[in-house]
Amino acid sequence: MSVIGALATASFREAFRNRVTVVLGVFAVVMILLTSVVLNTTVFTLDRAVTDFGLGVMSLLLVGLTIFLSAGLLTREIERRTIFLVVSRPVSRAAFIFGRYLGTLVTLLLLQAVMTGLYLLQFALFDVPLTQAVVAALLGLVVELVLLTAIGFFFSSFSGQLVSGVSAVGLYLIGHLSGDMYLVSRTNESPVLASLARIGYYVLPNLDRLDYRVTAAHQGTVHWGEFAGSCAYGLVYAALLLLAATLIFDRRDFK
Amino acid sequence: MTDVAAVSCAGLGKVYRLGVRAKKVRALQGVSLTVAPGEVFGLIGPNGAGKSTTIKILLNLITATEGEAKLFGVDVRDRKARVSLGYVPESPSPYEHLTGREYVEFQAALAGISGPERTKEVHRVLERVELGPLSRVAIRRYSKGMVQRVMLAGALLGHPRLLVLDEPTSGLDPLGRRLVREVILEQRRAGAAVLFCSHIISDVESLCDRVALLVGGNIKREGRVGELISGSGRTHEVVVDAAASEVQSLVGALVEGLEEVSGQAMFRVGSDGLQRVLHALVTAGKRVERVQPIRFSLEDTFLAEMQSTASRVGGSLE
Repeated sequence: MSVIGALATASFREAFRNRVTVVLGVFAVVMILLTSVVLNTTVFTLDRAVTDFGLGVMSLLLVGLTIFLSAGLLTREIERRTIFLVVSRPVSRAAFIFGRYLGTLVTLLLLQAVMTGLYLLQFALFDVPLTQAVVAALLGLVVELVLLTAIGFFFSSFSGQLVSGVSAVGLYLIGHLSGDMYLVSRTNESPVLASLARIGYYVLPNLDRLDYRVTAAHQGTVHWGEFAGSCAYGLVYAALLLLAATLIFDRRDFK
Repeated sequence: MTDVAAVSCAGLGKVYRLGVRAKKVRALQGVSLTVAPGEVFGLIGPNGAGKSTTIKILLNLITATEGEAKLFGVDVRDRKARVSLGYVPESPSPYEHLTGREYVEFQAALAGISGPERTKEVHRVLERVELGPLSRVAIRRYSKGMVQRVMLAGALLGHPRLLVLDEPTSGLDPLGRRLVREVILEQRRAGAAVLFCSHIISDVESLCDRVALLVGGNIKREGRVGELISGSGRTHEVVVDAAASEVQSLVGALVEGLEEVSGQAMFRVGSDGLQRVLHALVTAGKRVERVQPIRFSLEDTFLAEMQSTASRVGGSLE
């Protein structure tokens, strides 16, 4: 097993032996199954309720877990001094970050795969058609998790757990308001505010591009070329954040 | 390769910045030392003396602000410098979700040991630290001594040419301490260098070939243990068949700690004054019962050096 493989496996084991992950996993199962209850109370059509509620619960839980696992991970390693036992080996700090990132991501994607399995089971049970938009929403969530994990690692490379967590949540929320930010940059009368909104729109991660939940709920059409572009954007953004995290972490003293 | 020093530092310095106002603390200044293969080198000093800072620079956990540090002739910032290194940190906290065996397997992977060799090595080191079936229990359930054994097992993987131990015997029971001492001596016999940092000076004295005393980020004394002890000045305890008042009147100015025990005077005198004191007493017709050299310990040297440097603890603010 390579160094990165060993680090990824350690991260994976840690996440799965962590009770919070287990609790969240159980919670996810319960919430998805509760869709059945929602179906009896909602005024929307059956198809929309199943699609929307399942995607919403999955997204909420996975985003929460992503921020919990990634933001503060590097700081936790330094505070607990576990990192001393890794970087005192012939392991570069870049390999450390990449290995830990990979392990966290594998954990999240495995959870998403299990949740998706349950979700699709509901589709079969309620005879809901699986549309292209639902597939796009599920794949978009994958890329969103890739990006959000990188955001957590980036903040964790230079700040404490609380600051990292709050910053990652803030960036997640802002990232989903990119469309509104663009609107402000085009229509606001204040040139300062318009400029700030424009800078924010271009610099901050645009998570709205990866969000196909509304399209899925309304059984809208997916333009796959545009979707591929959005995914590429998310992956490149994540790679840049990881690179920045590595550069910062490489210069950091572990006191 | 055997001629290359396992550890070599020259003019090592470290300044930490504190807070947003960028106050600076100098934790280390001009530290130079070398550790040869097959040598056990001890770093002693009070809290905040710079021992851990020195070790952290050597392991590339922090970057020196001045000077250079090398392991086996390779700059410590190059990961190749740590290819043959075993490390046990102070108050270790490994990944507690892993079992002891999983932790050692993880360390073996990081050390680049793979395939059947890994299985063999993991088995060997776990046997050496006598962890037995407990290696399959999660580390979070281990006592401090067991954690230390696992740490030691990880450090011994791949027969390292340099072992860095930061307070390895602190808080251990006598069995654990004996194990650590045995491992250190085994490594020395195998030709590995051991850099050993401890507050337990008796351990340092009995295990180390050479010692450096760090105070306030500077090396105050360095040398072989015997040299440091003899350099403290030899003192003798003398017992004379006479009253203390008589000895006081004859040689009172030359002796220390004069007291009377069971009708005999007992006092201490340094090597310089011994002959004069004995001559004066014999000339006065007093019978000298016993002259015994007092052996100074490394701890005495340590305390004397601390007193002479006003016991400054921690680095200096700049």
